[in-house]
Amino acid sequence: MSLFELLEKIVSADEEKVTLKLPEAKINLLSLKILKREAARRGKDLKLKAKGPKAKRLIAILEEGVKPEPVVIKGRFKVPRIRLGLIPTRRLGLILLLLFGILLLLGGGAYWLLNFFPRAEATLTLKPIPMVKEISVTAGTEATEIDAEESVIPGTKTSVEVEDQKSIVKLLLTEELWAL
Amino acid sequence: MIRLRLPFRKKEEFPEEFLALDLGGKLFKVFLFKVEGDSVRLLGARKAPRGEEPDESLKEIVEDLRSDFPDLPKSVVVGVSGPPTASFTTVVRSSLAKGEEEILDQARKAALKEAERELRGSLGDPKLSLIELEAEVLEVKEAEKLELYLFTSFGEKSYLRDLEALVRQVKLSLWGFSSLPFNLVGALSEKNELNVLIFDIGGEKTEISLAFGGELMDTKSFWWDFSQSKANPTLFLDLWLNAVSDTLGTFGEVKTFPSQILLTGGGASFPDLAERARDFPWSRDRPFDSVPEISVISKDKLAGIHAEGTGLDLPEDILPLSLGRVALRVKEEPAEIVEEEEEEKEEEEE
Repeated sequence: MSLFELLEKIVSADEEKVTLKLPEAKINLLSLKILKREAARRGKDLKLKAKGPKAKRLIAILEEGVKPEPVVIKGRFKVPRIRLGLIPTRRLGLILLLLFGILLLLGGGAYWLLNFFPRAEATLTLKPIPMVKEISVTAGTEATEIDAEESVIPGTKTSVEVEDQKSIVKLLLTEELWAL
Repeated sequence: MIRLRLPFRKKEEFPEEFLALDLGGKLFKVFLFKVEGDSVRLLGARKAPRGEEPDESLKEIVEDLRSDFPDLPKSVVVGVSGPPTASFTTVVRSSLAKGEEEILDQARKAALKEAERELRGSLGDPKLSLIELEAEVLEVKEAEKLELYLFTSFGEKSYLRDLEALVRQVKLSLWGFSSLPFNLVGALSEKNELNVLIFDIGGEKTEISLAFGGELMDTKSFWWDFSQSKANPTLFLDLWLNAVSDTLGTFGEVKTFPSQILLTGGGASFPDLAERARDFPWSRDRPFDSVPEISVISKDKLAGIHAEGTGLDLPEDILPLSLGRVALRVKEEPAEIVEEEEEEKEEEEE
């Protein structure tokens, strides 16, 4: 249907609303603008419908000011299925080879994942832990100096009377003791 | 300073005799030209309806022309126009610091992008690809800033491929494509720089060209089949005139349209068309300062193209005749060389 025939439909329409189906050939954006203007001139409410993708895009450009975008075609293409016409022994060998390849790939992948992929930075700080060593020593009232071999240190006997009549031996630890 | 570049960017010598083809939607035209110094002469022409088998129609008229001119040249220039093409002038203003070549390169890239944007939107094809057909520097003005006027024309690939296939089928050699409206504006503006609107009313499309200062600024076109006029000629012309007025509304940034409208193409001889166009209220919707003068282009208005005694004087003959200008454009000496020669002469005189 030509532009003139489409315009004729607008002119001859009895109702206010006019719907036109646009062809795919010999039509451009200017043709659509001409149709819209003519409809407005005659007080008609024009609705444009498309017969194909080109006219659909033109309508979108006209009504929404959409710029033409590359078309994405979905569901028309399938991954081709490859059939291997091999004899059984060769097929077995091929399967083993494929398995070996897959294992090699998996191993390589795992090695790569473990060594390269999970990378993180860790900051280590040192915290000092106090070390305590228990040594049994004997405080001797007769000892005048520390005897490391016998584990005897000089001590003083002090008696204190308490209500429950228990005695407490107070050990005076000297600096030398820590040297042990 | 005016510098001219060869269209089509070809280096080989342009032939002294060549064929110009206007392969319209309804009518095929083959014109044989001969270059005669600063002008071209039409030696012969043939026309035939496009028909159901375009290659056969073309073959027939080429063979018919060959019967009159046995040494018919093989080189062909094919005229292009209409919706699958874009022809416009880009004005570039730039600081003098940049070289002309650099500016020109950028301007051509910008023109291609603009043509792609325009034609992809106009034809609703986001994958459409274009070929640059012509790039010609029309004028370079040097003041505070460099002002460069670059004309470029582009064609949609499949449209050009179809034309090329037709040419090959008749065993002719395609020299290049050239914009029909650009050649016409050039041929009309040789003596005075025209401000004009040209309506090319072809068999199946109408193209409006806007020219200022003798340079083609832009073109807009739509498909319109003039063979469908029989049902109701009055309504047919009414709707066509409205469509043309709406097309004028799509020229961007035009403050005032030229007050001269020229008609050409086969449809210009349609009964009552010129009269109805004269009566049309152009300034009702569009910015015209005065009622535009409307006339049909005759062949004597085409500068540098001689077609006397050929009997061709129909509006449909004007555009293919203007293709003769391609030879003059190609052969024109670059003004840079002219300037250098003038300077040498001045020095000698001193």
